[in-house]
Amino acid sequence: MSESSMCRGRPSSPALAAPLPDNDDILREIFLRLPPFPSSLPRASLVCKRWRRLLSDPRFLRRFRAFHHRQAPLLGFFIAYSGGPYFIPTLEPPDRIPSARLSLDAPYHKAWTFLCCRHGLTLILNRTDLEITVCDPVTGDQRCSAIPPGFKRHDPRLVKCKGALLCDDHASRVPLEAFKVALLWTDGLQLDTDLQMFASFYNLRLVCGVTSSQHLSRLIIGWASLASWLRIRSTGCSMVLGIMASLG
Amino acid sequence: MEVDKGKGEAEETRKVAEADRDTVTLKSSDGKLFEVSKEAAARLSTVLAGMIAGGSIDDNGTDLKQIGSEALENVVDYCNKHANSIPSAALISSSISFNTAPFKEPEEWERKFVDRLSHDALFDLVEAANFLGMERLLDVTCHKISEMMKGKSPDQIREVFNIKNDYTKEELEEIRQELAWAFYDD
Repeated sequence: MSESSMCRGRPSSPALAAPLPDNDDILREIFLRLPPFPSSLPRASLVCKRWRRLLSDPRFLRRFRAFHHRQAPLLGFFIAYSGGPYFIPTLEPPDRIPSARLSLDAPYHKAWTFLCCRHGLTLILNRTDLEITVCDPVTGDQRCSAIPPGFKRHDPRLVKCKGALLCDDHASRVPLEAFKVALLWTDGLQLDTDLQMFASFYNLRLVCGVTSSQHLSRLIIGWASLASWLRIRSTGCSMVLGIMASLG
Repeated sequence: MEVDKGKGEAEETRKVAEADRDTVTLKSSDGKLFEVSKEAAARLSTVLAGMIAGGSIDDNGTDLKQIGSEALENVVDYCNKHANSIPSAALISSSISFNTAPFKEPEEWERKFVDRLSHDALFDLVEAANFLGMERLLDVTCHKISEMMKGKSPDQIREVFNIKNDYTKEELEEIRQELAWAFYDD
């Protein structure tokens, strides 16, 4: 750092506020510590062009995400709606993101079932085309993958399905292809005596890539229904993995 | 040869004595001298740690020409206070992986330490912390400055930091429309 950059001019009158250090590295360190609320960076960007340039730099945004990892606020939640997952914001203004900004519209004449939202992504079962869709509500980016062959033998309207998204890298924003999808489904009504349960583990990197699909025995169904698996939400994915592990 | 040997021994003894001192002397840009705990300086500043390890610490006051006496006094005060406080596990881990570590709240005494500073002294201290590679002090001072922006509109932030608005009206309007939701309460 040059000596001149360290010597900031003192305000000529007490009424004039002291200027911030004229140093991009220091400004970045300050911005990094802004609260991770949706309005923080947009508001700071409007202060001056220099700040906007620093704040919109993708490297800074990656650092900001990593810095506030696990401290990000809950922006809201999605509810299953016939027209597609509908976003309900939970924060107060100015951090309240409008529903329309993140809600997803199902394509015309497609039956979408909202499965879950994790890592800021939504997982959708498209019952019309028998596909699963992973969608980033912020960018609108989508990846589709055909559902496992076993699924297709059954009436998709009757199938009860739960799913979860998994990713090894939790700290940074990763491409959709890095995600894996775990699906757990039955082929009929829960009270059906001949009910069978299936689990699949997908790798989105492979198109239609079912890396494992198993037909589970009724013994496992007995255990699973004991755990009321149809009501399981957040633990669904670890259960699928547990089943996968037990099947070898 | 005997004399040379004697000289060598004396030099060696002086070096050992220097190494044994548990403080280092730092000299500000305006020539004022400050004593600081060697252990704390080496632990808290990567630059001072390098100088201590490399033997470039001057017994009569190591010149830090880029740091004024007020900022250096605060740096030394921080180091000495730090030496007297028991570092928490959170603090240690924060200094290890500073760039990617999740944010760690300043401890109560650190908060009080920066709260008593004027804006100008705080900004001088952040520059000194950056220059000396004092990650934790940079963390605490930058956190304090970022708190000064919390909940403020762009106009208010400009006022606090005496920043000139270099956007045209049209540019401002365009960005505000793009991110209208973030300005609902303005």
